[in-house]
Amino acid sequence: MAGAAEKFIERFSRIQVAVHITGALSILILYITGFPISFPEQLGWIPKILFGFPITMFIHRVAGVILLLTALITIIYHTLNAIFIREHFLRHVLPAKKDFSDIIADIKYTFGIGEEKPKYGKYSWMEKIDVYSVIFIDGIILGISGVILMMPFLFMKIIPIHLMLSFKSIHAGFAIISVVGILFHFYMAHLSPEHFPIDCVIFNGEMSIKEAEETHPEWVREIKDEGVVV
Amino acid sequence: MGVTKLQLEAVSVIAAIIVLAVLITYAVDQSVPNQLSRIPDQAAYDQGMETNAWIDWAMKMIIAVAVISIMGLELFEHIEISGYFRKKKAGE
Repeated sequence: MAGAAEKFIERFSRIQVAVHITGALSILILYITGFPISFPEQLGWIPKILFGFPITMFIHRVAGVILLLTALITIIYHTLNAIFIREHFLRHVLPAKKDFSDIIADIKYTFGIGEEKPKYGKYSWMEKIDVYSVIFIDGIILGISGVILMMPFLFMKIIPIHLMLSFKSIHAGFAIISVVGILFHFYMAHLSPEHFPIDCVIFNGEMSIKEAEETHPEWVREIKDEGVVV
Repeated sequence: MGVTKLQLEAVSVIAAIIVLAVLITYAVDQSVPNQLSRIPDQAAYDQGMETNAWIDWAMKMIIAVAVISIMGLELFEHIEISGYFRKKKAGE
């Protein structure tokens, strides 16, 4: 139980919380409206509820644009932060040598060979994989193929016509990978016994120091060294 | 009322993003009325578009490898949380 004197530290900024909520909701809407387009025989009942295919398609495109806008906001926000405040968000997210040693230590610990769980920084290697999968699959691959499908006749000037339909299968294929990845993210973030039924850190941006010291001790040590937490 | 300034700011930003997205989508729809997703595959095929068999095969392979990898990660996470091997080693 959280005590009255329990201290909290900022894990996510306000903009990260807002971007996550917007991105998560848009991705959810993209799944609901997108899969019936790829699998109309099985999921054709969803567009019927949503007043038909044209409106479902319109909602899908709006949600796609929302996701691209949130990605754009994230890029602009972190670029400006890095330039003017010198707050290097990427230093926590970029793959480091430590991640590879953490993977080996984690495997050893999980299978009872190693004695100690690796001391993670702000993001563990698995959380970094999660972040990169969202950036590459949802942001880049689905984003680019989605924009091409949205305006194919514009892109036919640079893409051979016989390849255009393949973007449909690329978009649908990576959507399947995306939904499997998001389910894993959901399990890791909310459904695992440590956090079930919900982990509120992503909604209020704050984590108790006690929890942070248990799950991300190296990060706590870093911010204590920087004087953020005493 | 229990509404904070932060919540109002967040709702305003999200509402602005949604309105902007609707406007952008509507504008794109007006300028390019023929989204590929609206064209049935046969009609697209008749226009010279066709699915590339090699890309389709590669996509299936990518999906299979990605899904198996993600399931592997999930299994690993589950074993770690359950502590099965650690408990077994400790004789519990």
